[in-house]
Amino acid sequence: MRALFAALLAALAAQSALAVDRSKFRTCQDTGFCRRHRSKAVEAKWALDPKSLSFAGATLSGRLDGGEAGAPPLSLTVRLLDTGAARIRVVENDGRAPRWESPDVVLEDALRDSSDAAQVRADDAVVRAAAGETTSLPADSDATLLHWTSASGRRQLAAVRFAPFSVDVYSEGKHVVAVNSQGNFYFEHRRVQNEAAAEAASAALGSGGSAGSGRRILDWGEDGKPIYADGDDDAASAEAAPAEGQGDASGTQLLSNSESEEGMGAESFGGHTDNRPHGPTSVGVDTAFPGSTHVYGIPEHADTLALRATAPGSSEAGAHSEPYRLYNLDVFEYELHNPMALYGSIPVMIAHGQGRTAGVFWNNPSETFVDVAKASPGASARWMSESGVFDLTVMPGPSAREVFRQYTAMTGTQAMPPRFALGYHQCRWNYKDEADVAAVDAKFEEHSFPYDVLWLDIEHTDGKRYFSWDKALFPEPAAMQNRLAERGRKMVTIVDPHIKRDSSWRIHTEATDKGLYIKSKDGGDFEGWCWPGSSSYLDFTAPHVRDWWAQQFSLQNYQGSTGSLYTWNDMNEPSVFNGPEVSMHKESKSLGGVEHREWHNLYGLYQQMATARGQELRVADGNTRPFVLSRAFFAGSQRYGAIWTGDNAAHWDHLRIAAPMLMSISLSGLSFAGADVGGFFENPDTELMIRWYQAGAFQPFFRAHAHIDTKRREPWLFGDEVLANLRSTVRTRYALLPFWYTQFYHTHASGEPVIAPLWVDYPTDETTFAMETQWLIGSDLMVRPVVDAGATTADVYFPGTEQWLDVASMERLAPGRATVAAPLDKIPVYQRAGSVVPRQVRPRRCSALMANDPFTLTVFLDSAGKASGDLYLDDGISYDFQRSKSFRLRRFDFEGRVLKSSLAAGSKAFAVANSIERIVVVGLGAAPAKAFATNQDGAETEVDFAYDASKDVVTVRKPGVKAAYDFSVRFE
Amino acid sequence: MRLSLVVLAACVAAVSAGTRGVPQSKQRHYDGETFTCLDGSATMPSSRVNDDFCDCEDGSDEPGTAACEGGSFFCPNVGFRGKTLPSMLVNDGVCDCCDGSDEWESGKCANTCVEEGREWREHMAERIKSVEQGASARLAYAEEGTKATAAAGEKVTEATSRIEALDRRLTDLRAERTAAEEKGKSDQLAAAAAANDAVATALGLDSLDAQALRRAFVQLARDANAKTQAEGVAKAVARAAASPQDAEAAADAIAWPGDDTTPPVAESATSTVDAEIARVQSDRDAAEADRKSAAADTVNDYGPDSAFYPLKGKCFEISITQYTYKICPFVDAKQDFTSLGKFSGWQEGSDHSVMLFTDGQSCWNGPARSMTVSFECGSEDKVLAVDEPSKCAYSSRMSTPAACDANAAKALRLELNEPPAAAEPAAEGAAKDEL
Repeated sequence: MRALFAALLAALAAQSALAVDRSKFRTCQDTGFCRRHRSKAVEAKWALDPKSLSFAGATLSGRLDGGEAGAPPLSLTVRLLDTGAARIRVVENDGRAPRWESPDVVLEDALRDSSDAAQVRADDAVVRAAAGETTSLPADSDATLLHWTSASGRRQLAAVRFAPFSVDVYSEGKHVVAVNSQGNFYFEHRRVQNEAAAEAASAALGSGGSAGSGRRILDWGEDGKPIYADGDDDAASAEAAPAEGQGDASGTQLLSNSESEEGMGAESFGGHTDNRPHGPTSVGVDTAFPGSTHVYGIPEHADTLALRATAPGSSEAGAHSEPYRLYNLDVFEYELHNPMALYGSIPVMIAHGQGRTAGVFWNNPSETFVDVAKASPGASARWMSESGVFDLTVMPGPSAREVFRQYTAMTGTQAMPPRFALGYHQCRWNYKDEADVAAVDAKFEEHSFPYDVLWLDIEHTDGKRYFSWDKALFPEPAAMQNRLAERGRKMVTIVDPHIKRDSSWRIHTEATDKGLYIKSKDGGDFEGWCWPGSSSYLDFTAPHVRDWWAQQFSLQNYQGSTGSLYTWNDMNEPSVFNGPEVSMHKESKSLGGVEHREWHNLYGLYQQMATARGQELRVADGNTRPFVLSRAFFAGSQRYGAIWTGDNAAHWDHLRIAAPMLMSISLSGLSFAGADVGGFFENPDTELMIRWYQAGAFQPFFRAHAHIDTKRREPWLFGDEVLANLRSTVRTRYALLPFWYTQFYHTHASGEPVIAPLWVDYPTDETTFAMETQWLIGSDLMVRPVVDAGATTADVYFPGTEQWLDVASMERLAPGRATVAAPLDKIPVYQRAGSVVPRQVRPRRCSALMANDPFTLTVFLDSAGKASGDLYLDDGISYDFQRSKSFRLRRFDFEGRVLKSSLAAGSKAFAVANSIERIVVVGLGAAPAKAFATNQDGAETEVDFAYDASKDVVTVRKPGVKAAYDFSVRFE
Repeated sequence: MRLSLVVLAACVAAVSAGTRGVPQSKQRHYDGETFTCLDGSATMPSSRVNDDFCDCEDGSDEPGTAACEGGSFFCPNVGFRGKTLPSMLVNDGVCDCCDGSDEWESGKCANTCVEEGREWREHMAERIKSVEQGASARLAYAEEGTKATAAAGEKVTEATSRIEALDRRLTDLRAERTAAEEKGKSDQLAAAAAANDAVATALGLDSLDAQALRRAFVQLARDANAKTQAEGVAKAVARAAASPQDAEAAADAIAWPGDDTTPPVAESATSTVDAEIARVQSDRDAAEADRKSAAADTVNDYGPDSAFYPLKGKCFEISITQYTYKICPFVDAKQDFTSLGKFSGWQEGSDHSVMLFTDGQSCWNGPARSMTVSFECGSEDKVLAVDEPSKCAYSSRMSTPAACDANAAKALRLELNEPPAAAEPAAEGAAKDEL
């Protein structure tokens, strides 16, 4: 602690008041393995032994030899999947137990081998179709060729070269991904450890006791700074103390084979020492995307959507000097436009160029740095992970939507959220007590302002003991929830992973007695500082701990909870106020004895997984969809709920960055994401509030939130005019809930993102490749919110060759660029020509109360007079849509002046009576003479309609048909 | 009771004849064969009224359904009071009208109007009682306030006139002192001249001619051994005068100014005046203090009739969880020993209902603490609640008779006695009679 203290003091001295404290976080240069990867051109020493090769099923297996002297051989497998993806794995073949891997990221049981995978020869007929006529392929003596066809019929080839080892993947005649073409494949074999030396060194280094320097630390702030007993939170006056451990020099003693390379032994940073008793175990490789000009993904970073070059020597304007870092951290007051790590990590990269999209998934939950380069012949990435196995999935696309399916087939698709979760969420740190909750709810009622969920932050608890209530402030929590539930509303309480070390609290004593906590390197329960003070952290990587955690959400165990209470998992990076980089010591161990470094980036995923399970288990048959919001995330987190972008600020640039951040996350498989509306830190002015609501209403997770030090900012506190503006925005969101819910069904069913950058649907339009101010919801709505102070116009780009329909004014806009008027009440939102968008336009208190309301369909015909769209209907809350196929996906097709509704998926067993109250058809060209509707019984009746000639809009009035059933409407 | 049953029956009949969601007062707009939107924007067959499709921009064609955004629905609530709701609450599954008429589609809501009406009447009766008690207590507050502020005003006037009188007296005294001082000065000059004459006489200077004076002064100049100046001069003059006078006797005979023990007449005159001035000044200071203290009572705005005056100088406490809040109207507010602000006036536009306390102790990482105190009518002075809606910005509610309005009770009575709206206009008289 002495050393930690000193480091914090040093950090504080260098820090500026309003920005992130960069000195608290490691850079590549501060990190041994990253330095090792980056500082030397790793020689391509590894070679695949052709004699070792075997091909069975859809998997090629072989042995890699090489590496450093004395390194054991490695085992390679290349598995060809039916999605079209190729999974390349390399593990040590040293006779020891394999390195730790999580069984919970890749859905191994769901993976399917390609049915036609085969080893082929260079002159086989299939080769050229997959690799292209002119592509130069290696001779059969230098490589083995694997051919397979994806589920979507794409012909693909993988050329696995022997020496140096590399893999080239081709799809439909194009070279899409090259693995190790730059020779950066790197695999640090495990050393044999001298235990005695390690122990001695460890003892000498000490384990970090209590505070030094004679100043008593009372508490740790959310910013990771100490708060002193003398009332000072700043430490400018304090003296420096020697750092714990002395860095690499002492660390190298831990290795019996006297590794002398830099950064291989113990490493100190910020007053914390990581002894790394197992020595260096990093892995890395380069992946190149020939022909791709842009790369995306690897969230979470507060940076542009299109990743910037970071590789040393990059000359591109705006290039970063540091690699993108993936290491889940609680970063206080994060800075924009830099590659620093944030709360979540998804090691997925998607590359795009003219007419091709490909991706790679680097399945590694240890600390990872990613260098991006953009040199010809295409963008490339270099992956550098501290530990773990080599598990790289190549996703050849060749379209973006195929990449999404290839990725989500590996890690799962977005959980289908309960419908209410797509409504508006009202949060604040903190709604103080039951009276406050009642008053806020009453104001929403008074102003007819829809909302679905009221949130309670940490202050609702009894002394930050989660699963408890402050008895003075919340004496009747169940009654409070029931009062909200009477009007269809829900509540969310925060439940963080740190557990207050209070021996009179059941959760802590049970966790202690049952041994559920993460262990420190010395074997005792790990202790760290967080909101409640001294805390321990449950080991969510252990299935039995997750089971125990899930049980804590039973209505019986979670006293004061009800079936309408849902959960928010914050601080699960995990945040440890007094730990290295405000997180956990890497030498801490799971109950399975695995070091924290191996699973750091998975901690949040596992907590959210266990919490979601807990919500399911609280009803008898588990037949209810959970809703859990998490701050930390990893590949696969999409299966468990929503995430948000953490602690942003009430600044215009934070509003602007939300779009690229959310698109990046969405492209990486996690669609249910949002940013705190209004900005968490500081006070937004009314204009920022208005514009942030407008943007937030068109982002998947829509929650207003505010820091405890900010002024109250509920929608009615800015005057009547602003209230009306915000209410109109939120009602717009609610009207589109059927559309949103349908998009979530699609992402759940197929893995395609709910929001996406324009290039996903306009892959040959280079204008769109780096565009991040506007986005698509599904394919049919395009949003370009105003995110600049004082702006009264917006520059909008209309892609494609067809017109776009302004959904508010019903005006049509030509493809290309346009500057549109955007006064404070304008949200530039456009419907694609050729689409049908469903709405429920009647405002209600909340989504649950819209269940029986009729639908309005807006049909915007393309130049061929056609349009199509769909509408997903289910009960909004249960798993019956999975268990008994109790849902209906209705498909709408307009062609030849007839709109037809048919069942695209689901079953007729799901019956709801909602009617279609209005059909708006834009673009018929002239007023129809008559209109007729045919209902599900086949009875045709003439229906009323109105025609607005100035806008060429037909509005059919009450066609007498039902949303869930077949019908048609024809115009004469 | 029998009468009200008749009223109920009449109402039910009236409702069933009318258009769903329309109050009697507007029913005539819905009675024709066509319907014109209340904003006049469109006319349509009356079959389009309440056909669950919105045709009017103002929502007036769908008073009984949720089809129009921004429409309104009227529930008669027979037995209680009619109520107008946003039409988005119609058929949303939540019972918003005590007669259940907003959920007509499901019919799921029981009619609780009679019971709710009774509860409401009881509540209103209590409220009226409390407001009346408050209003009558307010009379005393206003009387005390008016008296006190009037008395303070009088005190100010009286002290002001006293100060004016004393100021006049001070002016006079200062003039007197100036005159005395001037007279003293001229007396002193005269006395000095007389003394000089006496010396000259004693020295016999008057008898000397110029020649003799010359000799005398020459002698004076040459006589370096003279014992004293006087003796030297006396001798010199005596010699010069060739007088037989004894020089020492002549010197002794001179009354030297420094030997005189009698104070000059002028000094004693000014000191008397000075004492008087000091006494009057002190009287004036006292009068000024009186005026200031009285003015302090008139500088605050105690509201209409100065009814809030009696709260001045008093403090009110409430304990909430671990804190005790202490509000001293017109002075300051505290949370235990932490200042939540000093009184800084009434909130603008609050019509003397919200008092502001600002510039309290600064918050860590936050603003200076502040508090608003909202007063509501009640029969006693009491802090009802304290809240901290935003960090370090406190708000509290206090009841006090000072906030009561004599007309409020009247208005409440009117509201209480108002006939059930649906019963208008025919049953109006009967309903009033019954109550």
